[in-house]
Amino acid sequence: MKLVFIAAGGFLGAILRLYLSRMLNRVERFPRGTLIANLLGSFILGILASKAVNGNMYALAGIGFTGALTTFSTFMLELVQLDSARKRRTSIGYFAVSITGGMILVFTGILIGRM
Amino acid sequence: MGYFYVGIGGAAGSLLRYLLSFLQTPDSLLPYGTLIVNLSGSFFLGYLTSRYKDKIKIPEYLYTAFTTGLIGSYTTFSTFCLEVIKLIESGHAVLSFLYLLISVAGGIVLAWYGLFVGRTGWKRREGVQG
Repeated sequence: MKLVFIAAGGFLGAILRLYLSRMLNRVERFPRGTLIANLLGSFILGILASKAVNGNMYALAGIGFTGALTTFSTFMLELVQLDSARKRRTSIGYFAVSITGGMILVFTGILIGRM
Repeated sequence: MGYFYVGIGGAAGSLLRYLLSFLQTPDSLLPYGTLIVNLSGSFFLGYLTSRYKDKIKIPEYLYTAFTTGLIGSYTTFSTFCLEVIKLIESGHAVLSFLYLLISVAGGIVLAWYGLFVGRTGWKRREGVQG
């Protein structure tokens, strides 16, 4: 049963990420869509982790939805592609905002979840 | 229609990531499951991205279902960030930094290498285009 919840969450998370990237990402520009998907997902996961949500709800929202909404592979690929398109400063900026933003938002989510 | 197939890919990718998370035992120092998922996914996404252009003959919606859907959802950024913060909270700051470094440096190198192998083929010899 848990697997059904993970699959359902993954289905929705991937669709929302596709929507965000189609709306906001432009070739050789700062990938705002992927960034928003990654930061939003990190914030939600932080809340879920400290609320001690478990079982099927965590499978749906944590493993499935936020897991699929956020992506590591696309983030890495975009860094390399920006760099090879001679957009090194954009690439470094994207890297810095993603990593610091992701960490801060997970932590903020954890703190909010504890309130 | 593209959205539906990406959703199917997302469901499959999430299940695959969940299965690989069992590689981690509760006393594992590093989150191996997430690390393996993120590194392998970065390579395959790079590979498929450059391979698709002229070597793979499938409709674009299937390509997007595999790349954005399956591989995009197989790898995860949120769990990665959560694990880094949890390692710091449990007093393993050095390990946390190491995990971050291996993930990011490895991911960038593997995405780059995937793009390269996808473009040139596995058995490229000097002067011969794969």
